[in-house]
Amino acid sequence: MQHLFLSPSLVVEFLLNGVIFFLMSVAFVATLPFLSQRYKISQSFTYSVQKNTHLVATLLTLVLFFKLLLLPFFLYNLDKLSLFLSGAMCAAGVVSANSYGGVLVVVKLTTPLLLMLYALLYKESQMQKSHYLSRKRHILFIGVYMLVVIEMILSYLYYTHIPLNQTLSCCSTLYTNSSVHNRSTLSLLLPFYGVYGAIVFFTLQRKRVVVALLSLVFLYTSYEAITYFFSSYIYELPSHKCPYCILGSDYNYVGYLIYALLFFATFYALKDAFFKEETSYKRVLFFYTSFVFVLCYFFIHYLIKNGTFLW
Amino acid sequence: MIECRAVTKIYKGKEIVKELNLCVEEGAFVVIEGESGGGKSTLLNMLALLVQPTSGEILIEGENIALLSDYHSSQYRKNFVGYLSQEYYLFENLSVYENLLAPLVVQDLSFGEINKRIEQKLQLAHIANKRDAKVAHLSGGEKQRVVLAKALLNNPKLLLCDEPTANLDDINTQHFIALVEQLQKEGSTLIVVTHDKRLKHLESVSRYYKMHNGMLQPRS
Amino acid sequence: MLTKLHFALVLLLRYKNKHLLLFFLMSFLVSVVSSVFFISSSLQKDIAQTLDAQADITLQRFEAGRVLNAPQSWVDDALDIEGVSQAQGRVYGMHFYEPLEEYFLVYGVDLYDTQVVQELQKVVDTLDTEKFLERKNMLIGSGVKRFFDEFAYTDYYIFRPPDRSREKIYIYGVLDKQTDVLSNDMVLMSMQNAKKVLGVEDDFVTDVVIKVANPKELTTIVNKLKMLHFNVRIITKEDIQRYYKNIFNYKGGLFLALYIVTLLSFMLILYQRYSLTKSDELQEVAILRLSGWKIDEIVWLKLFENFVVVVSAFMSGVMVAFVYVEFFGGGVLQALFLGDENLHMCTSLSVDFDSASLFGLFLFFTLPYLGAVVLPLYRATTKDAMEILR
Repeated sequence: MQHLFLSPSLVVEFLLNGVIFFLMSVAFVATLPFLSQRYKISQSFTYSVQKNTHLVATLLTLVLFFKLLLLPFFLYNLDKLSLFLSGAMCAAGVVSANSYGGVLVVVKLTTPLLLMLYALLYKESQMQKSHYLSRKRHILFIGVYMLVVIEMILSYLYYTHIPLNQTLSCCSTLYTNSSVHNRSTLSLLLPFYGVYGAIVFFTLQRKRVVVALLSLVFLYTSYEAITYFFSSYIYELPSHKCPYCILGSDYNYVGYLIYALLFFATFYALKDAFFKEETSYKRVLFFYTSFVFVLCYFFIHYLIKNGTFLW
Repeated sequence: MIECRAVTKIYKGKEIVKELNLCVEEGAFVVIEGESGGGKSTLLNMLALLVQPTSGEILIEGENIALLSDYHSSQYRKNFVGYLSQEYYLFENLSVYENLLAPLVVQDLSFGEINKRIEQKLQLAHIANKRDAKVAHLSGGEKQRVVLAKALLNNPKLLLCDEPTANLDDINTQHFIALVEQLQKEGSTLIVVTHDKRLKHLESVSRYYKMHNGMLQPRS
Repeated sequence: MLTKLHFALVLLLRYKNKHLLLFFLMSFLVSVVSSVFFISSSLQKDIAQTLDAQADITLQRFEAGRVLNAPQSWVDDALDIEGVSQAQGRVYGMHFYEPLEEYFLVYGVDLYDTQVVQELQKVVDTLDTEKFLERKNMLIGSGVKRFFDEFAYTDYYIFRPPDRSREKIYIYGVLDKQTDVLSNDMVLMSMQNAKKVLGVEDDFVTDVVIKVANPKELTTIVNKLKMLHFNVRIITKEDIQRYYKNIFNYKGGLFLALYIVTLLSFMLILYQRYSLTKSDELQEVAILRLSGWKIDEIVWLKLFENFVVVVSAFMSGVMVAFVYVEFFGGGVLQALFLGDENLHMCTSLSVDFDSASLFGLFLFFTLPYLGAVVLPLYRATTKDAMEILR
């Protein structure tokens, strides 16, 4: 176990997560005075804690910047770890090494999303002359902080529970044995395109809350569609179904582009639901359409090149 | 209109400003004098939002500026108030021109507009000939004029001056007096802390105050 | 944005002296770590290339927790398995030179047989076999040569086998420097002489190496070999590759983990610089606040300044490391990976790195650096400006 922990890229990741956790903890301590209602009563108390909001915002912007850089690095490390673990051919095997892996990936994707929303909330509140000491924003931050604490605990549990003397499953075992694998293509693509169509329709109708909810549904349908349909066309192999292998150098790291488009599309869809002023509908359309376009490109390219489907 | 209501500043356990009340109408020219350590500079610093009061309210057009968000307080400092400090808070290693860049680069102005404004204010402060000189190489009076040019950069509605003529010679003092009278005619509000009789006895001065032990007392 | 950038660069250039010390310190730290990783990746590449030419499977006799000499008959047993294209017995062992407490590897080769290990085949191909076998000759690695030269063994060396006899073996030539990573401390001789020197009986070999025709059938062949004898231990080429990869990975990571102490000390210096009450940095921040700058604009400016310093320091550190490893062989840092139980190496390294690792190193330095700057910076930006300036 110690040998695994001492892989240089993991050492870097642990150090940086430690730095992030430290900065977030400082921000957390600075937020605590705002949870009491004292600032509404005592003016001098307000003056003294006013500056804390600046600290919190500065630290969170920096943490967000770090997290966005670390996210692809984390995924890359998962992929690299597969070289040291017997049986795992890509990140899929590494993630499924124990029950904490999948949850850790989801948490790591959610935290930057929430941090981006918080940063925008802060920026918006700065434009208001009053209410910038809003209790709601600080409570949201506490939620994000709790998520970071959970992430630290999950990371520890995940890495310390990776079985080193056991052969792990590779993606072909994992995904061909799942129940989704046996579903028809139509049952995979219909929800995918259906939800996408609904997102486009409701975005043009400016129904922001509906779009935000649909974006969360779309995360799930995209995951299924990529894993069990589109990925095969990227790998050009009907038996190869995996959402992680597309992150590898063999496929020109196209996975990072695909997931980045989906990430930002989800962010912009959620963003407008939180704010009074609606600004992002064009970006929502752009990112979702680009995401769908990139996936369809591989499918169409294969079809034209080989004249056949990969059923 | 500027209003201070029961403004108090405690610094290191000492009450520098005590329950200060002040009301200044738009376009007024207020002179404050008093012995050193009386709290005059602290009052100006609070009005310029460079120091936070411990308690009380500072209302500018009905709004408590002490509670403004960082965005709005910087807007206030940029667009509303000009501060002519007694000390030269300048970047010693930068030239006069580069020092005047600092307040303007955060204003969403183009390079052309920035250059034009800097030239204008350097002329106004009679320091245009030292545009490219390093601040560290300037005399006290020249630095004072740079600080004046910087204070006037954003055409402030409220000009706060702390001993503005302390390091100026007679000619430059005359220039400064002409400038403040001009500004007052244009509708700016002036609050000047000074011991200089030439400033105190100007006809355009609307109010006198004496500050003693952190408290403000009107004078005739 | 452009005007802010312009001002940021003006400030950076006018006050560059205060950043110089940090720049040099940072470059030094980066160059040390980069050198270590360049050496590591270069050695790994060398080893990978050499290992590629090794046998697919190695069979050993393993009893009571010890590796013993394997019977020569195992070679034929292996050849009987479908899919095995070549099998050969190997004789090798460590010879201990007591005065220096150094080991070197004695390796026996059947010069009339096709070698399973490709590197050895290359050596055998260039050898005049008849002349080599005229008398008891040996080929030595460059590390062995240096050791022999030092002790004036210019013509021959007398081995002391386990039966306390004396075997005089003549020095025929030196092995190619290209294979130094594996052959530096190797002595190559005929199978017969090696058995005498190492005390291996005639019907026995140290182990058996096997080549398979189709690598995809490796697992099946390994299973069949396991069924041959109860006391057989099997090592595949993949196992060895993973072993070396783990060693380098572990050593590299251990170095980095220990290096964090150095890095943290550096961050403390940074932290100190921004938190001293009357420091130049705080004065600068206060003047900007006076000029109407927002807190996040000041933080942006300072982070930009430091980002430029850290990026340029990183690039210069990496370049210094590149020159150090490529042209000066990495010097003392090589020892981190190569150790010194065996004869000392003189490998020439060619830098080989991947961009993802370099990016990881960049994050390792940049993010803690920026984190160490921003925390005390907050105190400067939110303190009353006049408190700092007075």
